Amino acid sequence: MKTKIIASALLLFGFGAWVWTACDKIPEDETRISSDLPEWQGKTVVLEDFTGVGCTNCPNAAEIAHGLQTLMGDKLIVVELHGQTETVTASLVGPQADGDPDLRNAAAAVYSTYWKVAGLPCGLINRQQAPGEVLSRARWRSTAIGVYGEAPVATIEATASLSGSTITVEAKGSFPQAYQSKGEIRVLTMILEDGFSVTQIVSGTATPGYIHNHVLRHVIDEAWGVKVLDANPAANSMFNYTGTVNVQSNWNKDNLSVAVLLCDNDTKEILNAAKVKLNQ
Amino acid sequence: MKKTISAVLAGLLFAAAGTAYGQSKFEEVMSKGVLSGNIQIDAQIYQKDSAIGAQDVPEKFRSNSYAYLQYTNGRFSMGARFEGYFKPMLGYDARYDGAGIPYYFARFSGNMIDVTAGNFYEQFGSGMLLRAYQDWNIGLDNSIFGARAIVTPTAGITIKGVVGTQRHFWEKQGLIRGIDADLSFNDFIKPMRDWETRIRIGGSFVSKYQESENIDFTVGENNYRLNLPQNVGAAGGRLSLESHGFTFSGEYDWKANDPTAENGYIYKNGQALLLNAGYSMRGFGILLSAKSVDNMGFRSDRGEEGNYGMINYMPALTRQHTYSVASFYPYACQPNGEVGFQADIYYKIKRGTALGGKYGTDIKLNASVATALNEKPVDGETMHEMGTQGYKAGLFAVSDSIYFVDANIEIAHKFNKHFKATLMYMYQQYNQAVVEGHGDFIKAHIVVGDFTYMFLKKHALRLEVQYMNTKQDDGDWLMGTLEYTFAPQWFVSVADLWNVGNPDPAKRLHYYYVSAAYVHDALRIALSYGRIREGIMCAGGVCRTLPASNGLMLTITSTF
Repeated sequence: MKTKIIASALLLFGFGAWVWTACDKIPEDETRISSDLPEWQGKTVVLEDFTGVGCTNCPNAAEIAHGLQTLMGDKLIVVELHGQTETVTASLVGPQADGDPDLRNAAAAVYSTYWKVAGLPCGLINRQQAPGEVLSRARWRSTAIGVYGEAPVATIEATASLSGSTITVEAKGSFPQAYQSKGEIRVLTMILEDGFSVTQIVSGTATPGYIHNHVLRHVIDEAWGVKVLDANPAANSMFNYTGTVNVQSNWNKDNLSVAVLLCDNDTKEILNAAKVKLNQ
Repeated sequence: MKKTISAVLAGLLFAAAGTAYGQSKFEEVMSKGVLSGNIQIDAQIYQKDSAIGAQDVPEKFRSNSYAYLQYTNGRFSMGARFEGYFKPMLGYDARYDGAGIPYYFARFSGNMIDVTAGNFYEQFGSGMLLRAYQDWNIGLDNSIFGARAIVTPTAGITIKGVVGTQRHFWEKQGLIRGIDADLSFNDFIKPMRDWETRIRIGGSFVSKYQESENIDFTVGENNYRLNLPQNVGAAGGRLSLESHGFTFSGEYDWKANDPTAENGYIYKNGQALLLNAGYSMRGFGILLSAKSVDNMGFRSDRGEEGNYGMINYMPALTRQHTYSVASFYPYACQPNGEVGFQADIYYKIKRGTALGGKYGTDIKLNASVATALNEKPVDGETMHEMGTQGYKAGLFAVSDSIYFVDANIEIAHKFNKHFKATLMYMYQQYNQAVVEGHGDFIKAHIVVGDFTYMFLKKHALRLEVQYMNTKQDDGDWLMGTLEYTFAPQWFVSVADLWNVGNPDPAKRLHYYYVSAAYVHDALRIALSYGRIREGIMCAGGVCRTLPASNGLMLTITSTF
């Protein structure tokens, strides 16, 4: 019996010491390291923010997105996705006050379902995340900085014009080198709108007059875009795209912009992107 | 998938080895084994119901299915559980979609040592450092996949060691190591074996590992990256005493710096203290509890929030109500910081007295309160800024920010051999903004009457009436349930939950519900149809959202 107890004590001490030493204590003056933005090589970062007017932590996520916009300027495109699904219910994304505009969008719901969004806020950076692996807001910045420094595999530029009530979007680009894609190459065109003043839940409190920008209002063609090139484009492959949509009655033409995303349709990854204000 | 195939192959190899061992000897050994298990199938056909916000479900039919098999032969056991989500029912995380065998193990239980390889559930003390468990009602399973050894060198001394990764839907994440020692003095010190006073102490160390990553942020004009600890350790100690009807237990836990999404990436150490004291005797019992929690969220993935990735468990110091209306606003523990108190008193008025009647009268009093932790800034730092200590707070530093209050009294009396009744009154305060992330500060009065009349042998009729009075959220609710039981096999019930006091008259909806169940030995089949209100479902302070739905539901459970 004594032998058993001594052996057990040694076992306890040994294993306990191992477990206890597996603990990294960071000194108080070493918790932060200075970090600089890498050099931009031409790849536009796209942050898609799954958000909702009934989501109490979403304004904090919006601040993070805004901070990134300040840091990266026009090299970052932010898109707000208000998508209602079976998991993200109307209480999170539906209007919080009578008379508020409804920011929900069917394409946003498609993306939310595909990426298995279980709660808000969360996001995607260039859609490099697999379904079920959406990013918490704490990971947006570092992930966006990582993509910012990546070399692009393709170029894209776009123009958008309004004639009467018809928006025409034209985009073109190329793959300078051969690219091994998983799927065909598609262009996905989003109509975004700024300047929605709504009641937003902020830290548990209904706050009127909160402004939402870059809200996805419409996707031209279909939710996953249209094909512009076959898979595995050869070096110097070029593409052109033209899409049109009629302005809807509940859109404010003065606040519209267009984001054109070049995507691998298998992985859904955004290879590059361009954003243009309507009629600029 | 690869690991599942390996497990199956291992089983086949074992069977083949038996063949090599000798057919008759193998058969003799195997015939002493016992095969046991259980199954559960939950399924629902959904129909759109715009009035209550029940969405259209494209598949129309969804189910969650579980089948567990265990083979036990002497000291050896092995088991596996199949799970299938076709697709996951509403309210369950979409990441469960699919089917497979996410749980399997082999175990040897010797006299002094018990070893498990594969998946296992485990808890150290109260669970505030480590609790791996499953609860299908809230869609939670955080089993550990790895190895566990339980050493019992002598009666009264138990040492456990665990190492493994944590189940995360169909994947595994993190690396968890832990050791726990439990000493029951009365069992291993001979002179104490006959003592009325029982003394027990325990201690645990738990550590998690997660590779570092880039978490960048800006403070003013400066860009920073966090210097993240890859190994986070936690330790705790506990004591329990029992003597002559009195009980006392206490557990203190401490966690080293653990910057996570949940705590806003601060480096403050965490701590928690749980105290229980009680007395019980025939016809009377009292239990007082107190809990202080400060930054004790402990997860296998520092970026995860919500119900998943939790290594530990914060016990809820609130009563778990079974009456529907009383559980509209259940409290979910706040691992970032809370202080809670609970008092439970049970008294039985003796039978033969005026108030006790022929059978006695049971009275239960319960009160609980949870508040925020009173946090103060650290000198020279902005509170809760990323990469700092965050704040400082002492144990039981109560704030005037109320999270939850529940005071209730329940009286149960059996009038005669045919009729019994239970009456309950409850007052509740619920900080919906904190617990659910949105909403009002709700104050509600709730009354419940539960009446059962037994007529004929084995036939019983039960009437339940519940009423909630509140000026917040959706206003008043009234619920009536009529249930007929033909023991032991059948019961049917009809219920209506009516939002009688909704401020919008158009939303004063009825949530009708009918159900029937058949029970035969270990088999239970339940069929129900009706509307389910959007809400949250909690078990022990861990909650999941329940979307509104309408349709036919089937549940089948069996154990063998």
